[in-house]
Amino acid sequence: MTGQQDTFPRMVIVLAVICAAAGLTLGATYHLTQERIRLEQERGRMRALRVVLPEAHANGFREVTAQKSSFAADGRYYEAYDKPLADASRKLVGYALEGAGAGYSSTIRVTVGVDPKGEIVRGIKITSQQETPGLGSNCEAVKSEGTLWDALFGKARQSGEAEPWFQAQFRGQRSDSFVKVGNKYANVDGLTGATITTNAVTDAVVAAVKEFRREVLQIR
Amino acid sequence: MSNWQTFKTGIFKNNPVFIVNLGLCPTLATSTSLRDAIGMGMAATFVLVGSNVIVSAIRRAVPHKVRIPCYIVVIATFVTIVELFLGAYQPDLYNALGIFLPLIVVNCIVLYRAEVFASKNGMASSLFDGFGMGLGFTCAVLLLAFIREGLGKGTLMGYPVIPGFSPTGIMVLPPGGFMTMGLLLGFFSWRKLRTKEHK
Repeated sequence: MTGQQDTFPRMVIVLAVICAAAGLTLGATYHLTQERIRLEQERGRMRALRVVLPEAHANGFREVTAQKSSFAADGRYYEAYDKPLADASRKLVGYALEGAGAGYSSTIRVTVGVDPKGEIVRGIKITSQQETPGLGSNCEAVKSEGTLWDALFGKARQSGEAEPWFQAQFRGQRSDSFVKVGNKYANVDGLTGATITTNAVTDAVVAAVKEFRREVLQIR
Repeated sequence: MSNWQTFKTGIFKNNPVFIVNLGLCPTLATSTSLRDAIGMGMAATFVLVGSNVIVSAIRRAVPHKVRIPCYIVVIATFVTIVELFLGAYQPDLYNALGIFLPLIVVNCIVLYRAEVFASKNGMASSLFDGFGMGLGFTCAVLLLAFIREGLGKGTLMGYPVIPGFSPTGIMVLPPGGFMTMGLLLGFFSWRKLRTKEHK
């Protein structure tokens, strides 16, 4: 580390070269991975849609953007059919919408499935949350069967598809049955120690369905 | 010092978390479950090894006054690579680690090794140093996660350990993390003191 090395042009050149190399590397990596990242996000969205509207066909979802409405910020929702979109005899089985609510430590995003009249919640799936581990994050907890020992010896398989109990309770509830008594929803089993998360999820579901009914289905 | 010794030093004698007391924030934050701990440990190890090798390779070309910006660019590049690849191939882990993934850039362990070791040693020994330090960090996070997930959720890797055990929720919250960390740091300092006295 001689003083000679630290001339101004030299510093600029070295730093510029390093930054250029870093930029090139990152560009290449981005190019390699962007398609895959997009696919993963698409798959994640698809998985959520299948969970909230299990009666719909896997290829029966159509993305729609509502016109002249403030619905869900960008007005996006999905129509779900019981047969593939190509099939002319398909019937509408419901809609999937996206809602969001402010939780205890994060924005909770939730996908909601409703019947064609927007009256009954078919299912919900929390797609992103960063709530307190062990409390609020239990909104995604699955009751697991068997113990670690079973798992080690291959007896129990924790299936990734098992539905979290908190989200399962929304299935089949009427959208107008969510009524607050005091500071809690009467028909929602709360998460222990996480009332804020519980209410945030329910609020998000209720608000999304309400807005959707008003803006898209024109029901008041 | 042989490469093997360099490697071992990072895990035991110079463990970045328990002995040098660096990188405590990511250690506390990602040790709420064993799964996250493994992911964080591997991501950090990859960044450490990568940045150590590159920093060592360019050490003679980098002017002393701008060395820190140069190292940070190298480190940030590796972190972004990890981020992109995790997003593409391990989206669940990517979501679980959240903000702590990009924050590996400012994980002091990485810069510490670049400054203290890689900028003064050859590429081969820097590689081993990176692996050792990375593994040392991983072991520390795993140890914490083992205790915290075991007591705080009653599970390991997401599976219940003892049927009917009712977990102590505080262990997965920040206070539990600090308590566990404090006790472990105490234990390792006590051990260090004791070995010194024996000499």
